[in-house]
Amino acid sequence: MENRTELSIAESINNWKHQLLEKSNFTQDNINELESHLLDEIQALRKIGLNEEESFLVASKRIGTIEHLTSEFSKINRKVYLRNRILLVLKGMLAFIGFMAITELVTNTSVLIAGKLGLNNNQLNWLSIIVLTSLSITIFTIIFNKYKKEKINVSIVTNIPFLVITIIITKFLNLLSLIALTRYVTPQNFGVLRHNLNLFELSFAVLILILSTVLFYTLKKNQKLKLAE
Amino acid sequence: MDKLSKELIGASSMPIILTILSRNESYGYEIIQNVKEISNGKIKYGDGTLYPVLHKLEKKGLIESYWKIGATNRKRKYYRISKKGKKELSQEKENWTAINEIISKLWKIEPSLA
Repeated sequence: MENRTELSIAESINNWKHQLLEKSNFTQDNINELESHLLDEIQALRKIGLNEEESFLVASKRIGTIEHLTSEFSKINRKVYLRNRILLVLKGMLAFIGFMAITELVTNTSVLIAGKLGLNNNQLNWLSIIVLTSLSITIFTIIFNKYKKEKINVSIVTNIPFLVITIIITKFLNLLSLIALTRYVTPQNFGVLRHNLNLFELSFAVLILILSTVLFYTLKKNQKLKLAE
Repeated sequence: MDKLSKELIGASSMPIILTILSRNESYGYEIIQNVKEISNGKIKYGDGTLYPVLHKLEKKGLIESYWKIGATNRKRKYYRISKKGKKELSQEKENWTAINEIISKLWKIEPSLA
C-alpha cells in the first residue's frame, strides 16, 4: 500500500511537471526549480503530519495553478515561449520531411526489386500503390493505438538530432536508389512510380488538412465550454 | 493590520530579497519562509510568484544563481548577491531611509495641522 502511494506521488509530480512543460513558457531549469520548491513544501507538510498524497495536493495548490504559474513566468520568458513554439513547428516539419523521405526510399527499393524480378508496367503500378498504402496504414495504426491508450511518446520522433540524421541518411540513400532506378527501370515505369508518389503526397496533405481542421474545431469547442463553466 | 498592500510588497521586494541574500546564500523556499518569519506574516510571497522576481534580479546582474546539493541531500537552486547587487542594495537603503525620514517628519507635523 505504501509503495502504491509512493508511486502515485512520483506520478503526480511527473504529471505536474509534464503540464508545465506543455505550456512552452518554462525552461527546463525553471521546472526543476519549481519541482525543488514543491518537494520542500511537501517535506514541510509531511513534518506536520500530512500523508504524501495530502502533502502533494496542498503543496501544488500553494505553489499556484498551472495557469497562474504560466502567467507569472510568461512575463520573464517571452523569448523562451517564442523559441519553444518555433521549435514545435520545426519538429513537425522535420518529422514530415523524414516520413516522406522514408516513404520514397521504401517505394524506390521495392520498385527496384520488382524491376529485377521483371514485373510489367501494370504490376509495378499496383506494387507501388500497395507499398505506399500498407506503409501508411501501419504507421497510422501504431499512432492510433498509442493515442487510444493515451501512451503517445513522441520524444524519439521529435528529437531534432535523430530527425536530422534520419533525413540526411534517407535522402542520401534516395539519391543512390534514384541513380539505380534510372539504370534498371524504364522511363515509363519511373513515370508511374513518380505519379503514384505524387498522388500519395497529395492524399497525405489532404489527410493532414482534415486532421488539423477537426482538431482546431474540437479545441475551439472545448474552450467555449470552459468559458461557459 | 493583517497584511501590507500588494503595491508596497511589490516595491519592497527588491531591497528585502537583496538584504536576505547579502546575509547568506539562499533558495526560493527558504527566502519565502524567512520573509514570512521576519515580517510576522505580514509579507507572504506567493510560492510561484517569487521566482520570476528572482530571475528578473538575476537578469539585471544583481544576484547570481547556481545548483547545489543542500543539507537534505537534494539539489536546489541557490542565489547569492553580486557586487552590483551590493551597490544597488546600499542605494536602496539610502532611498528607503530618505522616504522613511520624510514620512516620519510629515506625520509628526500632521497633528498640529488638524
